[in-house]
Amino acid sequence: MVDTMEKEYKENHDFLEAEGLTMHFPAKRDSLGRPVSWIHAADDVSFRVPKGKTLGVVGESGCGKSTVGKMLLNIYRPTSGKIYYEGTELTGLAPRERRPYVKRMQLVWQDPYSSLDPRLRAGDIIAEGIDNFHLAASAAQRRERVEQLMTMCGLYPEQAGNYPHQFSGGQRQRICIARALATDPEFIVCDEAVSALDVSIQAQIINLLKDLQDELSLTYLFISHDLNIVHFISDEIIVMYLGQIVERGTMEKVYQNRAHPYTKALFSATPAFTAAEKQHKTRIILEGDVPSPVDPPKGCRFRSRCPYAERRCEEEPQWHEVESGHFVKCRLFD
Amino acid sequence: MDHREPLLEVADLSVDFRMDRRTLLHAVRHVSFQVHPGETLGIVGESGCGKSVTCMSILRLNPERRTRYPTGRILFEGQDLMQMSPKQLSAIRGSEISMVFQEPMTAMNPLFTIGDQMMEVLHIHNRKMEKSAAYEACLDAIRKVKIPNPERIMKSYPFTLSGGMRQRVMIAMAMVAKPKLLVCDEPTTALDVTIQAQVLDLMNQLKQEAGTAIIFITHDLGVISEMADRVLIMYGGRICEEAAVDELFTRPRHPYTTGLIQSHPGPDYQGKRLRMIPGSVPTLKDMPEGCPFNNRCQYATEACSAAFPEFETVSAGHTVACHHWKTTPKDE
Repeated sequence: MVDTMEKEYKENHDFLEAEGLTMHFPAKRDSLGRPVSWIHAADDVSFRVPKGKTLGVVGESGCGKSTVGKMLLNIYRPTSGKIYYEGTELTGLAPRERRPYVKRMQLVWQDPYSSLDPRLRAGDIIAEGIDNFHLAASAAQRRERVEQLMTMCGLYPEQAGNYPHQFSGGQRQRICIARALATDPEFIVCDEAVSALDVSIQAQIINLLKDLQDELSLTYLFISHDLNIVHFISDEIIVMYLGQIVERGTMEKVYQNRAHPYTKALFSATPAFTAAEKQHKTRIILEGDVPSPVDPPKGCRFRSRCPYAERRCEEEPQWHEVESGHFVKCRLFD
Repeated sequence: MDHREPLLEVADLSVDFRMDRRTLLHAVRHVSFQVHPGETLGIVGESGCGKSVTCMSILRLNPERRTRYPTGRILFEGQDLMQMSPKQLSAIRGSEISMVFQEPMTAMNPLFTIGDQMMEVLHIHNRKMEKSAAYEACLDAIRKVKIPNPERIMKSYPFTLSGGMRQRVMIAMAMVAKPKLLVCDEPTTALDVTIQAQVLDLMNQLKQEAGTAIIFITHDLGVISEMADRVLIMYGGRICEEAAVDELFTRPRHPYTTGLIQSHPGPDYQGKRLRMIPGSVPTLKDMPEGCPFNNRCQYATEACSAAFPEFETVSAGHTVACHHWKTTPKDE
């Protein structure tokens, strides 16, 4: 039964696909510089991003969510696994063949303070992609395009000559977004794009991202640790724990009917806001810390903190379908 | 309203920072509030609103040479901390009033073990205390914050612990001399949500057991709604609203408070646009005259740039400083 559902899911999601992405970083090396142990940053991560929609990725620090985003953009070369973009396998491409896809996939970083070159003017930062891919025929065309991007992102084009330090945090993040849009991408990875901003500015940037998505039919991979924001912006969600996906599905289904014990704990740990919310909420407090990714537990990786853990969890859990379009990897559903 | 004697009373506190000969920045202006024994007071605001400076002033931890306190009294159990000599003040720091900082890594000395640093607190508090008694007290404090194997923790260095563990150790360290007031400056901001939940839960338990009053500074409205009894909203160095926590979230009166609450994506906003506050927080240099919020406020009139509004009482325990609080739309 999972197969038929899986097939239907595949048909709607043939835009960007990750298959078995694995990333191991060397942790310790011996005296000859050969790695003797590995950090399992991501293990067998498979998902599909629906076109024109937002896929949210949540998890705690060290769960591999940023690693996944960076693998998609070829910042990290995956240890194993494949990435397909509209049917083309990107992982096997030579750098020259990959270049057109670089143009179509862009990134917005977390920290707008360290991701902008302090010695470049805002206009030149935004134009970097234009220059790199020779998208403007003349200087006038380049200027026009930069002005258009700045207006689109809520910046004043007159400020194109200013340096990053002359902008506030929110404005800098707008510059980052304008820079990402310069090459007319179809797919943008937002890696904690609003986490470093104040609450009132966060709302402005989230609204901007949503407007741009409607206008330019962008697809987002939205990485964040803030469940409220992910819930707000995403159509689908994947929940990661220690380098693996534990639950995935459409946002509303996962939110209404959280299946994996970790997802439940994660949602319940997010502070309730209004008095009404506080009342009908039970809090699950997890014991202990996230184990080290150098030597993750065998079988289910959550078992060292899971309130339902038992002997069976030492075996690798299987994917189960909770309802249509909602999958969980936990032996409670065997 | 609480009619008991307040534990801490801050009255009309202003803090200025001298940057160079010509510039004087007004970081905090005319802030007054009270903390009663056993209660948690939350202070909420965005970066640069003066919330941390206010709390650092309580223990006079702002950089001495640059800081001026043009007005204000800080009464702790009736004694004015502003008039105290550095020696008297250091007797209060750590033993009567303790602090938990945001980044537990930078708040601890990396060259000393947790045990050394914790026992130092007790040693300063009471110089005649036996070393073995101090050791036992520290073990006890670590056990209270639910860290397994306290003997091992006492011997370890801060960098060997995870973020959540370090923040617990910080809390243990702050609580070891059984202070009456605990000032927490963004204690969980650097932590993951599940670890944050553990730490908040722990703080609530300790508060109930020891009856410690807490001043809890954060920018996270969700955290504040779970922790605080009463909340102050600060903006541009001023308090703009004060109310009991549920009152504040159900009946905010200041346009800034309303804006903050609405700009938080909650489950009921799904699919809609977020309400937002236009513009960004001005720097201290460019803070507008009158009400500091006037250049971002949709209800601002001339009166708002002429003078800072007086505090008016909305209901018992709920005060607001806004010229237009009666006429602005109510967000129910």
